[in-house]
Amino acid sequence: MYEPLLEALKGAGTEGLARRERMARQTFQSLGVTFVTVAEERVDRPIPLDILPRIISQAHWRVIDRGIRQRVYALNALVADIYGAQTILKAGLIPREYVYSSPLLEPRMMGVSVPGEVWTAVTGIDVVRIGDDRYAVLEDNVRGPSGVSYVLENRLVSSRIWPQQIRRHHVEPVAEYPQKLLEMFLAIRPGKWVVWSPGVYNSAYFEHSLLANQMGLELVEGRDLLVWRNQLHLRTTNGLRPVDGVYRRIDEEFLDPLVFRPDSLIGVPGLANLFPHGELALVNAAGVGVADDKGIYRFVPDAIRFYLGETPILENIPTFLPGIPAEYQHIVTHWDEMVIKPVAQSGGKGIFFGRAMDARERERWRERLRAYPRQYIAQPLVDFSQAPCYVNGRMEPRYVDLRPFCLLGREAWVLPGGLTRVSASSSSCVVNSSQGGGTKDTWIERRNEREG
Amino acid sequence: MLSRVAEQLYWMARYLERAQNLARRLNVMTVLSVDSSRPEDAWARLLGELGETPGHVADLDDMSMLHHLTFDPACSVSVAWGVRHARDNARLVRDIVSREIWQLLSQMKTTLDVPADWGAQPDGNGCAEVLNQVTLHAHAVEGLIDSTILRDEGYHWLQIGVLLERTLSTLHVLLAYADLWQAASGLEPTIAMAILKSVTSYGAFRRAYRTSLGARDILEFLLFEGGFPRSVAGGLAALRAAVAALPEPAPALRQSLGRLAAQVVYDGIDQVEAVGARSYLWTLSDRIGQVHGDLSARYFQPEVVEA
Repeated sequence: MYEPLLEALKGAGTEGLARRERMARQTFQSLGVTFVTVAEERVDRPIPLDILPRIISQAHWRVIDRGIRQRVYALNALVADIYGAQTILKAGLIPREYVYSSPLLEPRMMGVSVPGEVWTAVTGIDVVRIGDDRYAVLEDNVRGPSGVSYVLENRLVSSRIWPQQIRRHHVEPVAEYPQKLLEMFLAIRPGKWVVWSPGVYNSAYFEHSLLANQMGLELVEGRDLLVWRNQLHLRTTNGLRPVDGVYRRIDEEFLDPLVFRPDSLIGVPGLANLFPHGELALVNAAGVGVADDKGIYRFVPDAIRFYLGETPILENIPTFLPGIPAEYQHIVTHWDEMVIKPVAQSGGKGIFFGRAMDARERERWRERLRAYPRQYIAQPLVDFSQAPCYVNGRMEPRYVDLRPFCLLGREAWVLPGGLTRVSASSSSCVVNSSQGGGTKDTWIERRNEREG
Repeated sequence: MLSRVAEQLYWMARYLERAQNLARRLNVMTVLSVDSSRPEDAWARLLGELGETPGHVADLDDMSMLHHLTFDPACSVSVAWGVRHARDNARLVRDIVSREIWQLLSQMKTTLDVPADWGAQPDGNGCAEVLNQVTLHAHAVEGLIDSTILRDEGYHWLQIGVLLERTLSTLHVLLAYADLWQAASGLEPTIAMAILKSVTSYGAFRRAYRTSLGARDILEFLLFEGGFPRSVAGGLAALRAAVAALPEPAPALRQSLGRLAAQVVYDGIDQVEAVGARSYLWTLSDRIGQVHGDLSARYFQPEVVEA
């Protein structure tokens, strides 16, 4: 699969690779991706791009693509059901108290319907390869997953350093993402849409402004918005103008200081009052966090079977809930294999490895899990795939995951590509970018080699 | 256009124009304080023109003052302060200003970063060089605004910011020398030249009035010469046109700008002398200042209006 690229690598030699790395750096700079000096003292640099792309065959991609779409349909149905008829709770597939005790459940959304019944419009589900033809879901990100700008920018760079190889591999293009995003918005609700960013000091501001620009939508901040007579408005030089849909890149808890965090200076007072009317389209809808709950994750395969009547295409990683006595016992007797994760965190925060704990720590965790069973889950360490990376002038294997971006409007669409994240060292399997890793461009081959 | 974006474009332009005008003033000062018989007088006039200057500044000697007004980023009347704020506003509207404008503003900011070893020994030549560069860069930004920006509302806001600030700045220079316009003794030639050069009008004035350097002629030229872009009349005419291009200007705003523009077309030096130069200039600058309030109320803070 990597053959055309391998040939190029052999031809290029160390000299050629070093040259390409320089080209990549220069291209990033000339594109202005050196992530804007944000505050005077804080400089956001781009996550380093590995010049070797990751290549995924069409056959594998078909599995991922179908699997992601299936999962997104199920996640959307699950959220709609939780805030609606609750059939899955009535069927006893997910314990009612387990959902109600989720720190990410939004009680204000109970009984609310959202435009187009689309809750999880933008998702970034992290998958890893765990066997020859097996992919598993690491986590479901529905609370404003970021990183799509890296996918777009990485491709701009790699098309400059590997122009012939991209052609020979027949790589699927990624540039259509902003257009697809816009079409998805308009499918959910026609009308005036804006992109809402926390502002220039947010680390993803570059992405917000890139997407807004490419979609031709206005990039707004909280102070540009005003709620008046049950309608969201934009403050313009032409007076107040109604807004129909908002792509919010701001966390739920900051949306409305009157209802959520009172110290939010970036929110819009009164916004939450609009939710029950079901007129304002918010992407993603408020309350979707419940699908992000790492405890709920365990029930997603059940949801796929329940709502779609299908067999899950992507595997789940076995997940143990400390609230269930037998599973609690399993966790506390298998420390070496276990990773403990808090249910409501994202971005690799608060993760603990059982094998790194000494006896005293394990005792503390044993207590903690008993006292707060709903706050944590435990999963066995998974062995996932590595890919070659060009680091400091030589090749090294690194662990990689993949975040394909899925849009759900009238139907689900997965961007053929995605963000491949690379672990910081060849021994660490943590691929989170905040832990010092990097990214790779991800090439999806358009044609199946075996089909000719 | 978003009110916030309009306001940021407007202030970006104003701050940059302000920095440019001060840089030019200071540059003239470096020469004037050498030539003039009473240099401290010239500095006092400049400080009076800048308005609220921090108390300690007035006690500085010439060189320190020059240094301070050029480089001190914490002083709200310095060139460095204006450039920094222009850049801060530009950062928030980077999708509207072109990349070249952003690069130039960043370069200007770097030019004004004080070298660490300068604090102790201010250097007049160094300052003059930096001030020259700031003025040139500011002109380059003007050129880029003219040649790279779409003529939509954003462009009009940049224009309005520039023109309002420029007109006020010319008026402030005239006000700083208000006592001399009526003095019987006439102007010292060095002072006359300094005033004209402060608004880059020496050459233009010389072409209009071949022989004279009289106070009356200078005042008339800088107030009423509609053909000169930095005169009050020239600035107001352009400002009126830029505001007319905005969506639905409020009647009060159109009225006040129309009156102002008409006043400087039909008034002559006799009307100025009838009320006294200082009083005439004050009233004018006050009314022009009011335009900002009207713009702000109409466009930057849109009110809820019942349909």
